[in-house]
Amino acid sequence: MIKDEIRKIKDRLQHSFRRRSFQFTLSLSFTAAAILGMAAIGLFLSMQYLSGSEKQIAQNNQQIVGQVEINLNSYLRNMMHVSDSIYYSVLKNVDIQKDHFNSQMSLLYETNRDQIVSIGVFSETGHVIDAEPLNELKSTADVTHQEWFQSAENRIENLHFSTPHVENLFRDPDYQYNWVVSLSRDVELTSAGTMVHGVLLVDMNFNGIEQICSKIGIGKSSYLYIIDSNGEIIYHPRQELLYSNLIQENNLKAASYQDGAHMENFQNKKRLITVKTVGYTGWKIIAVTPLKDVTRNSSQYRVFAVLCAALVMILLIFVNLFISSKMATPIKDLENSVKNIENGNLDESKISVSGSYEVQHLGKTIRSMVQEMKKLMRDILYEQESKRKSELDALQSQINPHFLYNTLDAIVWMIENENCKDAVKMVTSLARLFRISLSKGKTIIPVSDELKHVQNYLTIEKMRFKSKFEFQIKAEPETLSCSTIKLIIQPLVENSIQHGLECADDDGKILIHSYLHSGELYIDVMDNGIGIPPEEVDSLLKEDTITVHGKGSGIGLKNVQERIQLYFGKKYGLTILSEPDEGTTVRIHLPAKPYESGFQKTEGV
Amino acid sequence: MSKKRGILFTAVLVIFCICSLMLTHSINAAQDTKPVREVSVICRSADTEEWSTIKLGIDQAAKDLGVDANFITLTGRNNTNEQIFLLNREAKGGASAVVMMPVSSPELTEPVHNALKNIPIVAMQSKVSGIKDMQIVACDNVGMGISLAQEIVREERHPAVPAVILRSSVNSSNETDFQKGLQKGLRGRNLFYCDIPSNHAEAAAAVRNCFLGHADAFFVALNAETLGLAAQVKETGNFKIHLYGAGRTNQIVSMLEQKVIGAIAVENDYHMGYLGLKAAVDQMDHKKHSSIKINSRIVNSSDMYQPQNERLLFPFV
Repeated sequence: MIKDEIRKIKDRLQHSFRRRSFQFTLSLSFTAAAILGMAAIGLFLSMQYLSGSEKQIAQNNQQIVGQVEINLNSYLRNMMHVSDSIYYSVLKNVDIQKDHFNSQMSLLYETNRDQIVSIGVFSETGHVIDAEPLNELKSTADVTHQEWFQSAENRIENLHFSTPHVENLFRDPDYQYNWVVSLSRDVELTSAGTMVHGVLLVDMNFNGIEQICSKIGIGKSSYLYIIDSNGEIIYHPRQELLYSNLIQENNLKAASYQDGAHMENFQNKKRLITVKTVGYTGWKIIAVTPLKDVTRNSSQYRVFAVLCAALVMILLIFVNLFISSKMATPIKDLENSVKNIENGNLDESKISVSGSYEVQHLGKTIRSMVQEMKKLMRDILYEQESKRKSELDALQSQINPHFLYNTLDAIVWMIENENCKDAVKMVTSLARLFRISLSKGKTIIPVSDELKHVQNYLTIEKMRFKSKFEFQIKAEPETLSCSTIKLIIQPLVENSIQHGLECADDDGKILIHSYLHSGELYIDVMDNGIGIPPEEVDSLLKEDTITVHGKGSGIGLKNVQERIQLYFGKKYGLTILSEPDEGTTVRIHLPAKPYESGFQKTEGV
Repeated sequence: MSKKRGILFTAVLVIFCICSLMLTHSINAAQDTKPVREVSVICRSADTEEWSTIKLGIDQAAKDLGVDANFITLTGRNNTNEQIFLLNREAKGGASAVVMMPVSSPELTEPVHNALKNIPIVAMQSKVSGIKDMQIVACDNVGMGISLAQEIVREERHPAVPAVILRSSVNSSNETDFQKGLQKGLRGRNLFYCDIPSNHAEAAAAVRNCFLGHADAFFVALNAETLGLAAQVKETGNFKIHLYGAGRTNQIVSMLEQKVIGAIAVENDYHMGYLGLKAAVDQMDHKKHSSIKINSRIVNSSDMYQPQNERLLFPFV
């Protein structure tokens, strides 16, 4: 199903592309490739940017977390130092039964009162041995069950830091309740000369930790919190919201993180987590940067990047259009040239040869192909013309067998009647007729020869028709030396005799007149025969027309017409002027070219 | 490239540049001119301890939601006229929204109704009578009353022991509802009522007289002020009565710890402040709103340092 759909889309695209121009396809392909390339580069750069930003933020967070760790460590060590001072400088040197050490404790408290809420020394049973600044235990205070007390009792060699809690040991007339982190340790006390165990408590003001953490500038929605080794919150910038369950924190999972940068997904939000463990306490400082923070500041950068990409894309589109135009125009020109060739315009000079080397080569090849084609066409035309000429010449050169039979029959008849003189004359004319017909194989002969040929023919025909017609050949002297195709007057004269005079009642007259007019040669064959109907005159010389009137088919006329035009061009040929019952004039129009000008040497060309 | 294409190219380029400039300008302008939204918080009294935890919640919400919260206190406790004046002033003075702890007075109804037409108003702790479509952020006072009554019943097992409810002159909706809850929870016991005047000296005398008049009863105060006063009277007068109540101050917590007070009902003020301001901002953003219930707990001296109670009683001030 999907494959069919893909194939359909592919076919549709292919079909669409086939209908588009080369330039369009080229532009589209270039632009698509450029856009894809840009998108890929953009994606790569964006990923690089994000990755770099993440690394940068992770580094910054590590620096910040490191700084907080230093400050916090310093603060805690200071507290431990206070505890050590009380223990080693005060408690170790006094007997709690005999000596008063309140003043030393008071001094230490006053020195650190900004950071310390209270200092207290408790016996194993939970009684207050001494405390600062308050020392009256609340009646409800159950010291031995306090977490800090039990921690100190259970692991006597260590100092213990509690989670934040409200200090609830001493009665405060001002009803003050402070959040503290308790630092407790087991201490060895001297009581009446004997060593007893007790617990030293230093309640650190929670504000001290809060100040260390809250002053850190970590980012707009980034923050930093502290947990103990069990994941319990020590400090959180939104601690009240956490306690009110308005927000949640991933503190329990964070307890398992090793120091360094981590990526976590909490409440469907990706966050960059940087962890640093505070040496002695096992607390963990955790910096949180929502991943959207990484990209938030780059919104302007993204807008500019998109704008720049759009600008580059516009430029690319136009550059692509320009390049594709440069590439496609020569091909288009070449295509137009080929279309012209298809339409029969074989002017090779108009074939475009431009553009790149390959297209130029193509143009040149088409040019030479057209030249070759033209040459071949000329050759074919020439061959066809030559063939046609040869056919026509051969046809024209054939002596009608009837004419030959009749002429020889007439000669026989003359000889039998002892009319030798006429027989000689007829035989002589026939011989001359054949001689000129042959003309040594020449097609072009002088007008004088052609006229002689006609004269011989007419002489024979006149003797055959017993002087039923008269003829006259009138030639202007300057026409005699002009060139003509041989055997073009005889068919016309034959037509005049057969179609014009045979059926005429009166004695027929045939006049052959050659003359020059406007530098052209004209030979008129006139008879006073029955003439030709006007509707037939127009059709006699047309190629497709077969005239059924009379005895002829008009093929003789067409043959002459075709031969003249083959040799001298369409300008020349026959003109038929006829008036029914008046006679017919067939006018031969030829170029006036002297036979001696060498025409005979290039005949047929 | 043809001349036509050249012109087209130039035109597209110019249009693009103009659009780009306009876009970047609008982005910069939008960043520069981020509107500052101010929310006025009108309190019920000038007693800062009473609403210090609420203030913490409001401050945190203002920080989270990017608004300015202006706190306005009354010079006199439950001064209706002053609260009406302040409400009108803030509504007309350009505040984007008002979060208020309304005093109990029918006179407040009309000014609130009028102000609601112009700006969002959110009520905390108690509601304004006669206005139904006003968003309220408060705990379930009836439920809280029932819970405290159940705690009292555990302590005062003998059903013949009567109860005396110390009523303040404020008589706000939250106190009324709380009282209803108590009445439900203490059904079957004899209930007596002592009205405590607003004047401190008179109030102390009234409490003392009430203690003297009902020596065999236990006492329940409906608000922090009355409870603190009653605890003070009990301690100084060494009365052997049992005292309970609603509300939280450091003094009350201390009295609770010393067992002067048997148990207290405490609502999550931080929660209330935070959600109160958030509700106002949501209304400014035209989000759907409905009344918000916040949680409350019953705390006695033995469990007051349990983590949940500790966090409720002792905010990080």
